[in-house]
Amino acid sequence: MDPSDEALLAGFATGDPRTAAAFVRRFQGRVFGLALTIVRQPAIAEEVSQETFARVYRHAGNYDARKGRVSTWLLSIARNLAIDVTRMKRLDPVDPDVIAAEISIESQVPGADEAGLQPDERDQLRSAITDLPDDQRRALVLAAYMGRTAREISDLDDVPLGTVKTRIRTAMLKLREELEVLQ
Amino acid sequence: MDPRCQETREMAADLALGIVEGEERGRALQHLADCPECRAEVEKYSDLADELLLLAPQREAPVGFESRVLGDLLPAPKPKRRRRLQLVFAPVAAAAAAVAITLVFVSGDLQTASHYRDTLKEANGTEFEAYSLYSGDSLAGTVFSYQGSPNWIQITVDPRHRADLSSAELVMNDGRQVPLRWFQLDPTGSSGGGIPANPHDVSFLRLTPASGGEPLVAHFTG
Repeated sequence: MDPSDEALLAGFATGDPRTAAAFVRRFQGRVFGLALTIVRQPAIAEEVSQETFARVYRHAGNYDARKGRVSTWLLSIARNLAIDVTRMKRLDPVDPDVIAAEISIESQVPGADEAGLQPDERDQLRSAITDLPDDQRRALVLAAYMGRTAREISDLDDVPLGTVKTRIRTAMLKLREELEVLQ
Repeated sequence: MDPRCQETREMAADLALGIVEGEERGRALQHLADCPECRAEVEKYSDLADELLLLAPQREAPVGFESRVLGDLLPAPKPKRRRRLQLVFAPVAAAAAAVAITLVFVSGDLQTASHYRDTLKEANGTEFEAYSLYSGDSLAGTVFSYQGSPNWIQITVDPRHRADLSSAELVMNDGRQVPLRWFQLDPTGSSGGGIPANPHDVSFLRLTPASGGEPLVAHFTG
């Protein structure tokens, strides 16, 4: 039986070389994939991914299984680092439609066998995102992947703040209802 | 509905996406600390926000990525400790009966192999293993595991690492943590007892000092 994500994280934190290698191997494709989705440049995505694993190594003691899965904790760290780097290096803004198109396609790289949604359920969530009206999908992608606040999206798209908030909340509500049906 | 609840629930999706800032965020977090209903509402959106991140396509990491990450984080590997052949006495308190087993190891000796098999057979055992116990990079002792009926482990800790050790726990491959309540080092630095699991299902053993300092760890892998 493969060690659980939690066991690998605990071993990684102790510095055991074999467990650390297994941990990095299990999650590197996901972390690098998310970083590349946000920053778009492989060299910068690699920097972000390396720093993600370094932070996990240093802060593994802060991980609380009650608050979420290892994979999503790791990806949240990667997302926040990628967003910070994008802002610090003033990288060209990514077209949210490109990200929306990428997340609508099932990944071909085998990766961690996460808890949570099953692959077909994840496909249904992808479909639900594709089915969102364009303006809601754009606002959702800008918020979820690019970390843009409602006010930033309002300025970027030159639409009223209230409209942006409604778009994000309506999109999230629709997807949440889809998720509740799946679960 | 309480106006604070209403305000927090209106921004539940934004909170889960991490795009609420400043005073607004502070006010919401303060309210969430005291309101389980609103907390549950935000958690539902947090599950969704987590799933959104998992939709990002996976990509092959650049060649050598794993080595670079591990090279930066971990100390250079040490040569494995060569095990000298030795006489080991492992007194074990088991739930059903106290079993005393003497194992004699003589390298490359067929007679020893035969003796080893007989010894295992005596207590329905199939495997006897030894693992190094570390404090950071320093070797701190040895853990012997026995797969049989009962399963048990014997821990020996080197003199300079014995002080202050107060608790022991197994971390299983599935992440469960199993405290070893019998753990208490005797004057020779040893402690042993039954474990409620097959040693193959153990990821590592952790001995923790009462002071909360660096634990001693023995990995049961490989």
